Amino acid sequence: MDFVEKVNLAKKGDDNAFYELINDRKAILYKMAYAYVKNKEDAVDIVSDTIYKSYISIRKLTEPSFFNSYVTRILINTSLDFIRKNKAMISLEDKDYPLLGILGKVEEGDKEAVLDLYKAVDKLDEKCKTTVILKYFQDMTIVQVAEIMELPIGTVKTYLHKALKELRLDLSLEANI
Amino acid sequence: MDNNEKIKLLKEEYESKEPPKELDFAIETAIKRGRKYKSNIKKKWAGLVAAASIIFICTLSLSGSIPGSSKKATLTTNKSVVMDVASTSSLPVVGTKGNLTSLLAKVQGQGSMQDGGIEDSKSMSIAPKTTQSTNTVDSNLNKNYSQTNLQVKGVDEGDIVKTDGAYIYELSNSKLQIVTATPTSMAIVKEVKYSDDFQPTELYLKDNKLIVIGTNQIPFVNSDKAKQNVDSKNFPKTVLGTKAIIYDIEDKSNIKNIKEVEIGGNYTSSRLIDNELYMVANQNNNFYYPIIAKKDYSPDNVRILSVQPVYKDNSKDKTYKLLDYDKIYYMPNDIEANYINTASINLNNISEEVKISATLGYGNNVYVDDKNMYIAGNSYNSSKEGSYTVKTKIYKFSLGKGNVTSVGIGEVPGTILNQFSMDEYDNYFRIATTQVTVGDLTNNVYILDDKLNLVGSVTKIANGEKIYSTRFIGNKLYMVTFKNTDPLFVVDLANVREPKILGELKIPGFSNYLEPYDENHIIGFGKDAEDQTIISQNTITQSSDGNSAAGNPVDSTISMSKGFKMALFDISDVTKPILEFSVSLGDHGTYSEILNNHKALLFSKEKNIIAFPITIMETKDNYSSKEVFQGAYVYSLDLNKGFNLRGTITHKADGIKDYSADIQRILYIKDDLYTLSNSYIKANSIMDLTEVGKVKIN
Repeated sequence: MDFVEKVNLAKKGDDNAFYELINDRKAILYKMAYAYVKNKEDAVDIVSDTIYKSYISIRKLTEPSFFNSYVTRILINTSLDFIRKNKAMISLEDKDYPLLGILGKVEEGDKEAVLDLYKAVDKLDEKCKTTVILKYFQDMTIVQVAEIMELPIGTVKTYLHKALKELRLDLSLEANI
Repeated sequence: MDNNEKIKLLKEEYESKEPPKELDFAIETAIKRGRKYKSNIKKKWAGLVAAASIIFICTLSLSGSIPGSSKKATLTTNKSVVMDVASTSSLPVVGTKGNLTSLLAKVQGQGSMQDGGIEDSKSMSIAPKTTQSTNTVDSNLNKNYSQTNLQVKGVDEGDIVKTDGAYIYELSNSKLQIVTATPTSMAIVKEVKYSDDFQPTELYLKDNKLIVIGTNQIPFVNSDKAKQNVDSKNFPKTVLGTKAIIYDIEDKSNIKNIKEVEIGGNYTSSRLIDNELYMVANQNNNFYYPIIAKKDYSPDNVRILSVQPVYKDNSKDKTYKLLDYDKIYYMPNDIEANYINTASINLNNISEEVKISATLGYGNNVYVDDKNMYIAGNSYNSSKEGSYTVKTKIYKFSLGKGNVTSVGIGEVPGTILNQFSMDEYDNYFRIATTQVTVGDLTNNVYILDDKLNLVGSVTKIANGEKIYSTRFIGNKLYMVTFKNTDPLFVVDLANVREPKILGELKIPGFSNYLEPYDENHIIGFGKDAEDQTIISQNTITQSSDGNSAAGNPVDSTISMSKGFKMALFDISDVTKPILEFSVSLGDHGTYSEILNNHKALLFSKEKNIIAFPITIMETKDNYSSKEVFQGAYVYSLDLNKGFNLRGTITHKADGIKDYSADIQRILYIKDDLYTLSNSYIKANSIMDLTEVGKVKIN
């Protein structure tokens, strides 16, 4: 059964089809949620809420081939909503900072720079952070990012530019569109 | 290591987070939940980590003569403060669609918004105001029931529960319920369910009117959709809106929906002052679509639709209306592709049409007193030299008889934490920010006059730390900053033009929320913390001016937060604040909603009750912890003996993990404490906390 057929079945209320669609995406969804909230419990809750919301409003999805974008968008909104409600805690710090897996692969002299960058991504405002996650962690093109975020390409580029500046990264990465 | 390698490493880290086993269970549960079609969305805000703090006390006394002071303003370190204020009458309007398009063209595709520099400050035609009445008469004083914990007395804030002493009105599971406050025989007298499109988030209660505010989906309305040669099937069917439903609750079992007001945009905040309800929403105002039949997304093939602010008042018109271009204000030199929309509803006269205001701008933190509304948002500035700063823009609106008038804009370096970072007193606006500069953090307090011109500041407070909580009380500011174990500072801002630090106190842990107890004491709610060394190496850091700051050892510790902490500070001697008493609860991961929402606190000095919801976690081994309690902790406070735990209340059955039974709020009515979760409302006697009655609400 192909993807569009599955989506159409899910729209008609076939729970197995919906489950299969979600099961294929669950790792991607979880990783994105984790990138926003930096802890397992909340990431699981966000994915769960995303699935719930996707399920109850799937009839509003007009174009079946957009199912994955649709779920991703709900996940982003759910994550941002979570962060907004927790905005008093400015930093959603990773409990695992000291255990950051990647630090083991880095030379002593570079550890701090990597840790700083990791923290800097966390401090980005929501739109910039979303852009970075989609563009660099999910390897999307600017056009795809714009589609997910429902924003003009120019605006996405603006956020990306802001983000790279804030991360103090070489802006040449921008050309890599 | 180059940037590509760094990004690759981060991506690796991102990829390494494999879903835990419980995710499968969560997926099944979500589908089951969806199947039941109950809007039973419940999130658990547990396990957020933060780390340790300084409390500053700043006196913001205005006792000296301020206007026309011959003293030099202490603007030595921050020339970058922009003052750009226009008078009410001269603030420009967008006027036409063409003008909007050209204004927005400035921000389209541009790297970032350019700092507009300093405009000639025009004098504002605002009459001098009388002293701000921050300490208005407590309307709650003679009432025998609790009210939502507010920032500014007399300026009500929405919450998930309200009471009038006879009934409890609450939102849970996306439903509105009205429950009799009869402790032994509580009953639901009315329940209103909403469609999936409307997500109720806050309530207000005013005499015989109940207002439910929430987010909803509104149709995408665009005045010239047809003219655009674009693929209209790609238009969003709906966009995010904010809706207020006003009920006449004279007859509780038969409440009447008497008015609905909607505005475009994401719900930001709201306030109720006397009979005037103010709602604020942020509406994105441009959408991008490819032209039909062109797959190429190059700039030539796109159309940007700039939409107008949208609103609806069903007592006037059944359809959505677009606000005219000549009613949209903007700040010269400050254009955002976003509207700050406000709606004012006169609860005394429901048939009066809603008043809408719209200003090009963006802000997500709202401070309101009885005369003005300040909306703050981040702004990004890049200078020609390539340096890059984040600032806070402050949009000022005057409030009068429901009219929200855009007055002007100010800007200060750094970003703010929340609404408590802002305050107005004696016509001066005060704001505390955390500023991120290259390789460092620092904190600032700015005092601005009624035209948002900077008159005084204390800058570079607690370098390397950031603000965790602030509370302005009259002439003083109490401020907690934190990174590691650090001091409590006292800052003397006695002269608004020359504020300075008076003293400091080192305390472990930090406070996320400060509640004034009396003129000599404040209570801090936060977390305990301890340091853990992770990377021990000394390197040379680059400071912003490019000079290497040799000899600055790089911070080699990370603070790990421990349990919840409540502390009483004696601030009678501002030069020597004292930590008098403290209570610590649980281990790492212990969480209370007060840490990020002041409305979760029940505090009554008269009744001597301090109560809050809390999830207590205990650490089993180094990095995993287990929930051992969720419910309300109820304390009394004796200034000589400290905090006394009077008891705890929970809605959970032993050993059953059920987030819907998490207590969220505590209120009191007469002799009983009422606790609310998404499952129950329970009444316990204030006297000895014995359970008197309960009602299942879901």
